Amino acid sequence: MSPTDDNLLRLLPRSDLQKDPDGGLSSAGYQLLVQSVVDYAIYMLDPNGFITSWNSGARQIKGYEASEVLGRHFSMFYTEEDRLFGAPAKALLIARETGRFNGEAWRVRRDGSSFRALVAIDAIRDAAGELIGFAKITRDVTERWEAQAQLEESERRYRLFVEGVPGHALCMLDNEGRIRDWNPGAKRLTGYDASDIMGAPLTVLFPPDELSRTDIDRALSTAATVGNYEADHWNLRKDGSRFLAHVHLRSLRDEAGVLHGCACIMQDISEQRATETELEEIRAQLFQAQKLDALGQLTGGVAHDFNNILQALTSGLDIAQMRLQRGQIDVAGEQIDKAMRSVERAMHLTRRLLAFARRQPLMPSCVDVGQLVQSMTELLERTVGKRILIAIQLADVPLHVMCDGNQLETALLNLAINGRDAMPDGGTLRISTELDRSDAKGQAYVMLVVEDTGIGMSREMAARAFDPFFTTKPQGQGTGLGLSIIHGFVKQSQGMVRLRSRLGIGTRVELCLPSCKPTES
Amino acid sequence: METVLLVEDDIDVMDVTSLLLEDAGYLVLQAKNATQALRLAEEHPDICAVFTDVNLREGLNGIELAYELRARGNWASVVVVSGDLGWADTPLKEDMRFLSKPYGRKTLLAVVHEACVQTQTHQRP
Repeated sequence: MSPTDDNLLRLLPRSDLQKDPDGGLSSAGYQLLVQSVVDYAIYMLDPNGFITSWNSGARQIKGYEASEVLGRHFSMFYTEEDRLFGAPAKALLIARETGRFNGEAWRVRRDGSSFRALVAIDAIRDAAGELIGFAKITRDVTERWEAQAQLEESERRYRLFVEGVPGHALCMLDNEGRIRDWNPGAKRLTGYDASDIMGAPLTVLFPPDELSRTDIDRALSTAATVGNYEADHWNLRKDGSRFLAHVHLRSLRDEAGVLHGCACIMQDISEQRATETELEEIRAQLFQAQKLDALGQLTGGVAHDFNNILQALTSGLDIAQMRLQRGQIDVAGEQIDKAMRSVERAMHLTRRLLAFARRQPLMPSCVDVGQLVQSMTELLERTVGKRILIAIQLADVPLHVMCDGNQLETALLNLAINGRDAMPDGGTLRISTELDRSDAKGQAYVMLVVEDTGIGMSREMAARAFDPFFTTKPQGQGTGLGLSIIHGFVKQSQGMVRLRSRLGIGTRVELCLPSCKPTES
Repeated sequence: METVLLVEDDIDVMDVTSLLLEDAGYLVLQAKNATQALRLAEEHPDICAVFTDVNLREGLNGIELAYELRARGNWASVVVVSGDLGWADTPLKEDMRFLSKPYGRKTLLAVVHEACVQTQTHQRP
């Protein structure tokens, strides 16, 4: 038995050193055990900290052979800083005074590399209580330490992330729907401090009426079963005020599929909603302005026609009066009948005009395109003037499209005005409807085509035709918004606009709108 | 009997205007467009007034017609009428006059009479 082994055996209670009657390990067995342990460095120090034994685990972990370390001070394994700090002496002092020192620190291997060491130093005393040395057990826990550090880093990043999104409320819910985690964004949104809300059910964030709380309970169970839930809800702040929130619940399951509650992400969308509403209003206003612009162009023509009717009426009544004064009652009656017909013509005209001009909410419905074109024909004829022939070719069967009829009327009128302006010397404006090809998803489309025989546009001009404020018309004659708004309207209606134009030949605009089936009523 | 050339493409208006003028003792020549009007003016050099609508369905408009008549040496006074007041600002020659629709019988007769007097004074000196 080497002195080293002998020292090591003093680690063990005296009685264990004796032969074990129950078949336990003998001292030789212990030697073998200690020597063969490779995962732990197990070695002995004398009372001053000089190394007196060395096992294979120590060799494995620290990289030194026994011959290189025996008799040297154990502080050689410490880092420079720890040595300067006096860490080895402190560790021995604690072990001497309390019987044991436990610690975790960086140690240096033979090759200069460092490893994370979990260290236990036990004071060894003989039967008389005299300190005879220390047993030192060191384990390399670098891997565990790194995993832990990674976890901490990930946790830290997660914290930064969660706390760094003040615009979103992020909170964690347990399986009972109680709040277990609360970020500053959640505080900002709701006014509740983490201390106010921790452990409270999520439902406290919603108005107390039964409906909305039932909704939230249902949302939680949806998230738990489906994994995901997303919707807009009215939320209740601590001060009792409300805000519209987009609520996103996501169930949290581990790899084994066990439910660990739910992540709840909420965003205040009141402002967004307000902006959207405002945008919608502006869009409606722009449309109305565009309509009034078109109407202005229309009224010129209509006023002219209207005055013609009034002229026929005035003169007719003048004649009737004249005849009556002369006692020619029969012929006077004829004139009055004619006058009545003129009045009817005027009424018809104003009715059409009012039907077009009245403000209507933008509402998509299933519109009969043919009927719409027909009802517009008279107005269109007046708008384009007498020099332009309007040729209408409607499909044999009624075609229906899903869009806002009012906007489609304005689009048609704008296209007619464009056609008119492209044909200063007259020409033909062809308006036709036909069934277009269906798309890949099987959605059928209906095409409304407006084609003129006017001056046309170059390729470059045609490419910009849909740009807002782009116009080929002289200054003051066009806003350059007509086609741009038509484009917007058709897009919004899930349709598309095609434009073909050739200089000197004319322009063809196709509005393709999704076809629909009219409801029976 | 004084002759008036009436140019109007609206049949209703043409009918009643002719009736009023004829009742007042004029001989009315009817033209639906500028081409017809120019031909009639050539055939009837004694026309004392041209009473024309501005917006004519085809060819020249009423104002262009007035200038064309002058260019062809016809000195009959021209009254251009329109229901579209946009034309009211178009510069006209001294012996041309703009009248907006609708006008009453008295105005019609006064304007035509005045035009005829003007034509005569222009031709006399």
